[in-house]
Amino acid sequence: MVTSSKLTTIRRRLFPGETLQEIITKELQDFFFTGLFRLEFFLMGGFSVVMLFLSYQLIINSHIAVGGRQGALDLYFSYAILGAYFFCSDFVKRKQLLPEKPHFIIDSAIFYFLMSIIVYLTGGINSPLAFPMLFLMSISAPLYGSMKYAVAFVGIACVTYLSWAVIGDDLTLEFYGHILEAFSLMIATIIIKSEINRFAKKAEEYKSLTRQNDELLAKMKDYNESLESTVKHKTTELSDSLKLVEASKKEIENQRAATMNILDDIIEERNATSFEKDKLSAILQSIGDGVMVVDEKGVVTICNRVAEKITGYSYDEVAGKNYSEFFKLVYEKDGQPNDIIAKVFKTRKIEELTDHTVLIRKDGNKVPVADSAAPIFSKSGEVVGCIIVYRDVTREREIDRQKSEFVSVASHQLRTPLTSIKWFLEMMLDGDAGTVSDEQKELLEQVSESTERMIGLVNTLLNISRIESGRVKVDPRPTDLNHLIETIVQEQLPIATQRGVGLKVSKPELPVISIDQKLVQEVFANLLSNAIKYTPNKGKVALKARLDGEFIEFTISDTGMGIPDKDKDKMFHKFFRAENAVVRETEGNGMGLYVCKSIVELSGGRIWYDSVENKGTTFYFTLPLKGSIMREGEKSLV
Amino acid sequence: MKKTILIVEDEKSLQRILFKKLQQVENWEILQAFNGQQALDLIKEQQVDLILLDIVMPVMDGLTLLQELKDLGELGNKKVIVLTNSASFEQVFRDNGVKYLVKSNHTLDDLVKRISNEMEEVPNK
Repeated sequence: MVTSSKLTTIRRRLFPGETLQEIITKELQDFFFTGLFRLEFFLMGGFSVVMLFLSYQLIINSHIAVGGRQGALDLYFSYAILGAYFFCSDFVKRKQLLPEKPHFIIDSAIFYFLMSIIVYLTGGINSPLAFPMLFLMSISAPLYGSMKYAVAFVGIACVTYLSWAVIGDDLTLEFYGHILEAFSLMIATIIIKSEINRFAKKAEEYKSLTRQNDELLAKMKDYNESLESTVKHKTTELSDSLKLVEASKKEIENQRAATMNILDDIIEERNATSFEKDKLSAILQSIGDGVMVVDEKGVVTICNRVAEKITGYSYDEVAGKNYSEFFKLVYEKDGQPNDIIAKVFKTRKIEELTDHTVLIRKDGNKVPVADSAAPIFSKSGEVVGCIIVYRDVTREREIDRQKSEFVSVASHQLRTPLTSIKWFLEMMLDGDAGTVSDEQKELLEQVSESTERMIGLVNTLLNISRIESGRVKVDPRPTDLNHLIETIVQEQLPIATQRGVGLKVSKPELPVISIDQKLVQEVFANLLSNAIKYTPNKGKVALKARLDGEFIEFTISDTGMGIPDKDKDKMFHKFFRAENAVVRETEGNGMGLYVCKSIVELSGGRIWYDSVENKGTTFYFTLPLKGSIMREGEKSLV
Repeated sequence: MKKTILIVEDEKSLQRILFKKLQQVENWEILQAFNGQQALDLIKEQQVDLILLDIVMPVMDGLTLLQELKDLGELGNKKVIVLTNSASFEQVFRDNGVKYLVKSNHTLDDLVKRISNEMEEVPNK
């Protein structure tokens, strides 16, 4: 198989083509169409034909003697061999069967050998073909491609001619014959030598393989030995370990039981925690206000159902986004943004939304909201987030508006008939409707007093409503406190005198400060009239003032009934009246101190009192020297 | 020549008592209107020096009347005292510099005194 495949390879190299037909076609094509046009083949072939023709003519015309018919046939045969040789040489060259140098040598040897035969047959050195032959040889030499070969060829031609001349044509012929023999021997030697080399190489390979084999065997032996000893060792160890395992097993059993106990505890704990978490989450989701939590970067982490409802964005839409992308709070008045979360991150304090803030919903609608935002602190005190709680106050707003409208209408409706009564009584008392007897006058005065109380009550209710709606306007103007106090005292003095109560004022010269005069006047009037009202005959009421740092402190003290201890906490509550006060005075609606506290606080001051029952009461209140702060609002008090 | 006061008030009893009281003052001529429209018609016909103006009234309320007078250019030569029991208009008048009194908080005598003060500024004719 190997030989046949080798042969196929060689065949393929020499005769390309798959089928025999292909091969023959190719060879014929090469010979007839390509070979004839190769210069050396063409020249040498052509020249040989010319020489053959020349020889033939010379023999026919008996110019040369070739030893009869047999000699002539020998000559033609030599030409035939020469022609055949041309084909062979061309074939060898075309298929590159031999290297260039040996090919040249063999070529020239065969060529000269055949030439020598022809020259010999046609009369030796005197042959008329000798010179044409040499000429033929000379021109064909360069066809081997190199000048070196040309020179060699011409050299050989000269040597041949000399040998013809010197040693005779028959000896020259023999000489070339020997050279050819030598060459065939040489080629055989080369082939044999290369075969021997091939075998030597193979032998070397076998040798190295054998060596490797031995090495492997040795290694395997070593390994086997070490394996055996290891197994022995391991077996001993194993038996030792087995004993240890037996001991450990018991311990592990114990530990396992303990671990299981701990695991049970953990699972229980985890269930409890998860329950707590679920509970907290459920609570968060159920809170009636919107709750949203953002981390320190402002990214939303929690957003409950109500928050979703108010903003119109679902949690899935906003989770992981920055709140500023969708949570837009603006002032209702001018549409300027009111970023409460940014404020919290800045101040690190709880921030409340100021009035009249609206939230822009997903659909673009505006919802009035009330809310507060608080920072979330880590254990180390850093702000790690912010929780915002807000609610829709549309309904509250509406109720507030209705309430305020109601108060406005009610005050008008209530006060109009009262005004009518008041003024008619006044005219009657003035005698505009004829003379009034003393008895009638006394009764009319009683009616008048009741009417005034009624008007006072309506006014107070109105004020309370305004204070509660948080829309009281504070409009500070520079006010001379000395003048203000004097006016109030002048108003209250007749009542005090009438009740037999002494009213005394002691104060330094007070500065002009910026306050809402109407409001502050209300405080003085309330506190003074209370003091007078609840102080018995021959009692004393004193109004004092002093500067205290950044504030002016006013004191209104009396020697009256005082406030019972149990009522002390409630004095500033709406509608509250101390027990002893109710017994003594039926008048009074429990609104005065509530209004006073509201006004003082709105004005930037503070109000408080000391009292001992049956000894007297002292009310204190302060006003800031730098003045009250302007407060926008719709209403001033009546 | 008497100075003229126009009382604009829808409540008949108040209208009556104010008329009666102010009439007693010498040299004052008192005119009456029961709503803003009547008052406007009167003012167009007759010289008025001072208006006592209620706010909540039928047909035309006090605020509308003030605006109308302002548009007619009739406000500059008149004194106006707003006399109301409504609670919602303080701010409007405070901003416009109009005198504003809550009826129930003042006695008739007090009212007459305030009107007299205002009338002193009206030149005698």
